[in-house]
Amino acid sequence: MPEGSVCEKIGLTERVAQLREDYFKAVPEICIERPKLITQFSLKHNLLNQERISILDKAKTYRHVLESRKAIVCHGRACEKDERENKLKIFELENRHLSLFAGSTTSKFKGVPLYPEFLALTLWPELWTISRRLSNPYYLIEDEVWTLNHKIFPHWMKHNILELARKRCFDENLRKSRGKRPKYAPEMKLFERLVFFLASKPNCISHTIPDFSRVIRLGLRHIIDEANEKGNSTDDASKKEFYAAISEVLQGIIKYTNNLADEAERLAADEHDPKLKKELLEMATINRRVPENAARTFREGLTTVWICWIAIHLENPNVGLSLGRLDQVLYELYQQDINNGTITEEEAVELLCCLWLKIGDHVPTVPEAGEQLFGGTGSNQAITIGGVDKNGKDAVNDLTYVMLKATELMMLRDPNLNARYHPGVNSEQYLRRLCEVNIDTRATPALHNDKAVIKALTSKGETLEQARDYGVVGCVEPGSNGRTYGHTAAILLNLTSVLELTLFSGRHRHTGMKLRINEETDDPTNFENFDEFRDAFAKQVRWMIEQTTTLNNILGKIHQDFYPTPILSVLFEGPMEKGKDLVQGGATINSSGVAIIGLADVADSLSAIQKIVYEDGDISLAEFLKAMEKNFEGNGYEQLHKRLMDQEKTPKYGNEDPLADENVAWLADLLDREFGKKQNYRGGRYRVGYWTMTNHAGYGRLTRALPSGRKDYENFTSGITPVSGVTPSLAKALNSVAKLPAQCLSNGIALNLKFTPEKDREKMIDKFVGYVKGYFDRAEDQSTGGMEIQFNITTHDTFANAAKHPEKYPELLVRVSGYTAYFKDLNPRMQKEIIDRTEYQLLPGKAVPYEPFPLCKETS
Amino acid sequence: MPTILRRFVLRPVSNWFKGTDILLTRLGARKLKKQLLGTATDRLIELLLKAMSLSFYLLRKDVDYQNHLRDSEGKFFVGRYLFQTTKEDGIVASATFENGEMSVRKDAIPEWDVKVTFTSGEALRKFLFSEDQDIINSLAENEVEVEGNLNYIYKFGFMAKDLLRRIEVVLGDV
Repeated sequence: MPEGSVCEKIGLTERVAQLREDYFKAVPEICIERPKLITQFSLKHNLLNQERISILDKAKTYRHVLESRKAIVCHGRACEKDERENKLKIFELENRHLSLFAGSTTSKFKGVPLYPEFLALTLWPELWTISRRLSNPYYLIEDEVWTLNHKIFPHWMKHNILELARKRCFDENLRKSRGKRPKYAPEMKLFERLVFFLASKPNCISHTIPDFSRVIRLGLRHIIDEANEKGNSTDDASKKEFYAAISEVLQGIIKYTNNLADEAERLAADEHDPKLKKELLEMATINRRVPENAARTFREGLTTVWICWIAIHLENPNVGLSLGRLDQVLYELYQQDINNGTITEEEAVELLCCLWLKIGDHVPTVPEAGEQLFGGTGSNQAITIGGVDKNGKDAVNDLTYVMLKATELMMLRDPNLNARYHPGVNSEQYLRRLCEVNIDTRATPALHNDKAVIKALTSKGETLEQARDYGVVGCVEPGSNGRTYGHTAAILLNLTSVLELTLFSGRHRHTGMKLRINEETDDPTNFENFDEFRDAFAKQVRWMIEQTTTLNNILGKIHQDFYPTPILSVLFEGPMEKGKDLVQGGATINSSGVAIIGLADVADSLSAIQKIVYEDGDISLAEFLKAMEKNFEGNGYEQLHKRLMDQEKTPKYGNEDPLADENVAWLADLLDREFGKKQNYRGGRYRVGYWTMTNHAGYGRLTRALPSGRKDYENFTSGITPVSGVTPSLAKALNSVAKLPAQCLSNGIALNLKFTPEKDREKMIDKFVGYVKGYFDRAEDQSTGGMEIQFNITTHDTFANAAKHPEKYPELLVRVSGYTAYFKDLNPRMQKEIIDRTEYQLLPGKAVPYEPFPLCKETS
Repeated sequence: MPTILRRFVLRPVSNWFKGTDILLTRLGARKLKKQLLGTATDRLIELLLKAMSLSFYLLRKDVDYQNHLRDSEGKFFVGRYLFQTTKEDGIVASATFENGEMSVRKDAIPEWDVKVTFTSGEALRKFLFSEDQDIINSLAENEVEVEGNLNYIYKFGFMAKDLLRRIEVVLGDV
């Protein structure tokens, strides 16, 4: 097995240092290339007025985009922020050093790709101001504003996914109401209110891991031949069309990469520097070869992945598309090149550093309103390393360590590195290295426990081999590489809104909405015991699940009719065999994913009600609700609040308290069971996870006080993490989370922990390793152990300083609740949430006391 | 005589009016900007629609502006908007865009592409004009409710901000 000292002494090359510096200096620019080309083609071929868009028409559209888009080998300029004048301006890129990969996700150095089929039109109101908005501005010149306003956006007003779905719901309701103006469909109404849940299909499906191994091994030309052969040998019209579409779109990818080769040769012809000339010619040769043909070298393998990656993003919004187990897929080529002297470890690291920068060359479209829910996010492109192979053997190899090194050196938010660890199979040396990299980068990689994840996936129907071959999607969601089309973020459910409806007989306090459900909404103040309360809560949960899954399925059918995905379908197990697009159910595994926000806050609320109202009888529920309405202020409610915030007096999740832990387990089981009953539009089932991105902060500001003692509009807790400030013991916090049954967590979890960096690095690593092992490997309670864990290795005070002086911490990397981000890009509320997270000193294993960070007035 | 009349009477008077015209435009623009961005009354929507309607009229011969009311196939933007407050006997205003023109009514049109119901002028102002848009809160707090095709309100938001931008250009603020 490889030594942990692989790549020890490797640093950044001059090339990578220069590219990295440019990358951090650059701010995102909106790119109108894709929407312009898509709109032109759609209008010319009258695609927008059709009842549905065929996969062949989509393939022709993407072929047009691929063949027509600018072939960029090196950008000449980028955009930066002029701090003195507080505006964005262009700067010239020196290009003394080339990236080792040609091509670009957009036409900009750091671009914002637009998808008018989805939510690009949400930027319309702010086109004139987007370059100067306070939070994460995007550069956009006047000509481009007018092009978007005049030539692009108007054509999509009736044709983006959300409007198509709304119209379909409206027409269906009109039909049912026999021509009278119908009442709004409840699921759509709830969705528009935002505070109950988010359904992400109006923005994308994406959120999946394609399989690159076939393209690397065979090349696109081989797959085209295969598609043509299959198309010729079937009489089924829809299959014929599918295979024709595959052939069509892959031709587009080949043309694009040849255009890149042409451009590299053109630049080489004018280049006087012999070193650059040679690099350009080498790049041209590689792009002529792959991905049309099988890759013969490590660099050709990486180029294949990169070009396919660009193509996937032209088709699918850049949200959660993930690259999978690249250390497995590319290991053979890597090892071959190392053995025959084609490359050295240093060169391999340099290649990966260049690729990492390319992968991060775009950011998702986030309108100003969305900054509060998703601010600071990258495109969440996860890469997975380590773990076991399909036979259960140790899969950690030299390339695993090379990728770790590249990640450690670059400290980028994208790609988002996730490391699998199998207790008892992967070495302690490997785990130690993972902990080291976390300390050095302060936030990456996230760690996933193979035992728990494999158990979770097999409980949902994956075979053992399929489960063992899992990769991580987006934030933290597990899915079998190239087999699971799982839309892991289909629904983001604010669980506290369900608690609201239970507590207040169907009324949501903040919005004032009163919701009727099919059965009578009980008045909880009449309940005689906690079981009655929990039953009422469960009833509300079932009703909410009905609304969310109904809407998701409506949106899914719109995708099926208007948004087939030929490019992604090629890179999956299933579609080529079945002759069926992914969105129609072509994949081997067809789940849909749910992320729950507010678990710990709801669990602690249930525990508080159970203990204080029903067991101790110290206060009636009616009085408790009054206290909440008053935000625990006045009338002696401060004493109640004090009691609620004291984990010695009120059970809190994360302290190994049996009552509290039982409520969390009950919630996890209820949600998994009830969502699992629902079938999605592709014939698969729903899976539940606990990761929250920044939604726990966004939703927190829309939610009033809770029985847990949380006050009006405070942040929720992130992911599956226990509430901050009430879990003084690290070991107990880990034990409480580890006990949760893995089969209820199959859409992944984010356990977000903050550690104080210690002076004695070796001792810190020892303890770090010890805690992770204790969390993952559970001999004592026979459970599969905690599923996932991720870290911020930065103190409360450093974060607080970074909030006040962001210019001093431009590259401070953080784990949010799933993905990595730069602290300075997060909105103030999200920054506060991270600052106030429980911080543990590893050596004593205890929480560090802290003062809550004040939120500035204009953002509270 | 005609030359003397032109040089010493007509031209200076014309120049004076030209300056006055610009001055009056600036004063009007400053007042309008203040009304649009300052403390808003429920009548904000009427003011806004009238300002937009005036802008449409003034720019009807501006080829460049007219082009931007068309899509790339040359068709004029067609949109029907209904705005109303939640209050009983509150403000109702409708705007229809077609053939490059905008018409405004003080009542509800029967068929609309999008309906915006707002609690107050301030809520609507925040929704449309605030650079630090708080749409999430506006929607979640029922300050603004949008029914119909959301893309129409995004288009309207662009036109409203474009009007503001033109005012700022006149004032020399950009």
